[in-house]
Amino acid sequence: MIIVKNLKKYYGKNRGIEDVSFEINEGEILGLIGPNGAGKTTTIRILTGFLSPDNGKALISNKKMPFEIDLVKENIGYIPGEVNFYGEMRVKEFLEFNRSFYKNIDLNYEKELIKILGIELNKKFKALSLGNKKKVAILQALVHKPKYLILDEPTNGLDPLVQQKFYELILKHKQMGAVILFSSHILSEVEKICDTFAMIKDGKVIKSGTIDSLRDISKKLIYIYDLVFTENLKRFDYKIKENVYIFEIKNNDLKDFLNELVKTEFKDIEIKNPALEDIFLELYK
Amino acid sequence: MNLIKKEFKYNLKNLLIWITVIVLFNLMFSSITDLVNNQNSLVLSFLEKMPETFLKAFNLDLNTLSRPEGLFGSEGMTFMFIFFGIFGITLASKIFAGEFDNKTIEYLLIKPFSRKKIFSEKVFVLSINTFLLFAFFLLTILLFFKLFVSENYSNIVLVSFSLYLFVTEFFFASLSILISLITKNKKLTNSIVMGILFFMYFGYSVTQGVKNAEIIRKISIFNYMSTIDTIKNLNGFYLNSFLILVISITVIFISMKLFEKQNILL
Repeated sequence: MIIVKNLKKYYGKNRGIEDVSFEINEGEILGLIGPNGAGKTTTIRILTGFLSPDNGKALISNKKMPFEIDLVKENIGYIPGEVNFYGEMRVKEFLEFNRSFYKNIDLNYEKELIKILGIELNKKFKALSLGNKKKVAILQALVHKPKYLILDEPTNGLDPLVQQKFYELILKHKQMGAVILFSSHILSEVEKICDTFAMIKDGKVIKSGTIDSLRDISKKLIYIYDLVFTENLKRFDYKIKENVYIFEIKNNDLKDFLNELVKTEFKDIEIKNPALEDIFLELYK
Repeated sequence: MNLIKKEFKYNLKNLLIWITVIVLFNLMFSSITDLVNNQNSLVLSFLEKMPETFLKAFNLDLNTLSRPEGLFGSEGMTFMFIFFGIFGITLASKIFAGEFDNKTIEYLLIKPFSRKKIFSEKVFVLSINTFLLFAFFLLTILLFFKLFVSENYSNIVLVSFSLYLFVTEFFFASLSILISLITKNKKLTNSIVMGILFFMYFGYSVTQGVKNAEIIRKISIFNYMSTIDTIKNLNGFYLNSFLILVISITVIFISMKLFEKQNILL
């Protein structure tokens, strides 16, 4: 279990986090959502033992972070937000290096991950693209089948196909009973794979709960071109901009809206996720 | 490949280059020692006319220059002290500050090794590298003197010189570890510690005979490992060398405590 309670961290006079609390149980994925600079990485850096908090507590398996991190490191898998490994090392050398830190690595699982993610073994790390670096980061975090997975914006730089494979891997680890912290600034991916969420803004958790309650908050922006407007669509929030109808539909109402939409005529449709900052603004209204 | 192997592998090329430079330097100095000694009467009579303070500033001593170890002790060792100091500084900053520069420290610290173990393994690799450079220096200076120098010379003096060089590289490597952990920046560490090296070395040699500058000499480690006095006494400053090594180990210990506790900000 991961418990974070009233965590506070300042960098001199600058705020890192002010008051962050959440809990993650076995076989559960918590989505830590927030815009850049909200304090997601600071929270993660305390949990991974890099920083000491000024106040509050961060526990992994009842061990106090960062002070007792050595007792749980064997069971932690971590994907950093920015992937930095040894540039001169070839990927296969890096995997050998990574193996040396663990007592028992399942080589078959390592091979499976290499195959699933499509990792090129003979290239030097510095020659890899951002996406390929991220794949290696995923591998080194999962290969020892850790009980605790701490993922800092793990899908950044991954193409949609690999993203999908990554979600499947994470869900597999969840089924194995892993406790997973998934930090992201993309609401839709949190909705897709997380069980619970904590929204963080200006260093504070402003909303948390089950993923179903997140669907009340999250919405889609639907742009409809040359729409033949009907009375039934009036009950949804919309505005008109240069002959384009822009509907703001809560995820919970999406099915209902689409059912109404197919009954009328339109030329084209675009569905977008609103910026996280806009959702946060709504929460403050 | 584990952490120790990785550090050895990625510092091997550097070590081999430095060993080559040191061996060639020893070869050059040893091979010209006889030639210079046979023709040094003119040089000595010229130097006799120079003021004593001036000679001291260039680490020159008329009595020692007439001995076979004199040329190496006065001129060669000036370069060697600087070479060994720079080797210790750059190696330590690469091993420690390099992890922060490349941000690989984040990867290393989340792996199931304690910070103490990571630090100790890195210090182990650093120590072996510094020892190897020292060992190559010692072996080649003894070998080349035996091959090229026909006059009587003291092996004790040559061994003492080698010991001073090991102490120098280890001392500056220890400072470089500490500064690496404070600045977390390889270039800045190199600049600061090389500044200290040059200040200590030239502060010691250039101010020889200047009474007001005694404090500068006193804070320099080179004041306690005088090559001229070693040649004069035919004996090394072993206790001083040992004490400087103890100081270096203390600095490394303080660095380890700092590393164990410090926040990792990237």
